[in-house]
Amino acid sequence: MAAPKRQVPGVPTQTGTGLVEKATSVVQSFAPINKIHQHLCAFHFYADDMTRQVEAHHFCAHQNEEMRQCLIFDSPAPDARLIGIEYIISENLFLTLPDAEKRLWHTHEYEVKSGVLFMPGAPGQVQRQDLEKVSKTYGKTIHFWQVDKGDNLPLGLPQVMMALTRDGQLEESLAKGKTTPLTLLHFFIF
Amino acid sequence: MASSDRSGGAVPGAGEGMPPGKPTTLGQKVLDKGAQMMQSLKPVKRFHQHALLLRSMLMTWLAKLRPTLRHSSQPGFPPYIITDRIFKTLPAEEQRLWHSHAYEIKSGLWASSQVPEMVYKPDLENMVKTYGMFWCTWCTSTKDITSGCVNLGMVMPGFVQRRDHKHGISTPDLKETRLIEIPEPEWINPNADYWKQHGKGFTIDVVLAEMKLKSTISMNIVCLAYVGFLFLLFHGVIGRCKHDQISSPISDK
Repeated sequence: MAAPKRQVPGVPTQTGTGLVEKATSVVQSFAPINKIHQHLCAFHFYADDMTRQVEAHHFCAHQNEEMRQCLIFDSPAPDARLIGIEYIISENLFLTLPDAEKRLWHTHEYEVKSGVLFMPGAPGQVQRQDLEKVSKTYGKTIHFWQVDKGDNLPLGLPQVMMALTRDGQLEESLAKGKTTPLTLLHFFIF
Repeated sequence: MASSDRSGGAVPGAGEGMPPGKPTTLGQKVLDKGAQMMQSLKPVKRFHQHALLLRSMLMTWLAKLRPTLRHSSQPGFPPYIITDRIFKTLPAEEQRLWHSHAYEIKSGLWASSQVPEMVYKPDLENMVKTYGMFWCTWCTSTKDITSGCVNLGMVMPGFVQRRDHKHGISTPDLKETRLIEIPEPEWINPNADYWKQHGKGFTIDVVLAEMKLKSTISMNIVCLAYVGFLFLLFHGVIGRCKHDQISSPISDK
């Protein structure tokens, strides 16, 4: 379940620091960053615990037609926390992987067809065409910041993450902000 | 690789310096442009600084959430950078996963691409006191698709000349100026740079484990059982109240 967002510790950016940032951002090359062209929103769960689910905002760039690499943030806001990364490859590339490697990857078909995975703000035609490709790909996701535990810093070890594969797996409270079935029953009885 | 995982290695089509796969088609580029025009991409637009770090020729782009916390955008080596003040608040077992930056900066190994040193110097004076943690998720030195597990990244020697030639900088010159102009931190936390004190590094492995599943069927059974219990309890209480009323010596006659 999504934990309430806690403030990242530390003092606000000072003027001098901001000026250096402005200078560097103007003269330096940001080619790999500028390649990031796409925002995908979906949910991940921890590979050993499906009950721990996290909203994942992917910002992706194509390396080629068959491979994308994505930075994963916990929201689409400017102060979003970088919580992980995902690599996305075509089925052709997936089939070339050793079996031991394949185990770390997940499918995208259900996420796309169920609508759980979508592209916020993108025109419908663009979404349909690109997500049709995404539905046939495989992803490998590693998270570094366990925001669902309420960590306000990236603590602990990297976590292999997995994606939804059928109806009934997604935490309803995460998807729709409703109360759980048990609390609804309490309300009904009392 | 530091990890005990041995599932890595080149896959067919690798070896040309890029991941295997067909070149991006014109159609895909059009889709990408369409998405990019309509989507905001705000978290990515915060990346403001390009630093050249010698961790297997790592280049990293930094975004700042706070001056006390930065994160990087290099898929394959996502690091985090925190100030010494924040580092002190971490538990000792967490601190072991982090490394100091003082040596990298003082020695010139940490350089800024295309930015004059005098512009970059104020930031270096802050950075020299920070601590970083980064994880290698793609062993690009083997030129394969990201495979295998994750490795805790540390500085690797042997790339100085290649880096300097490629980016038009001189690490020895940077070292000479920084030795004088960038103050040494007063203290480097001994829990960082764990390998230096203990002569041992870290590996992590993926192991099979019992998985906690979200089962709607079992949840429904639990809910029904609970409702049933409450129902019986409620009726049991009401029934007892009625019985007590009937058997009371007080009569309404």
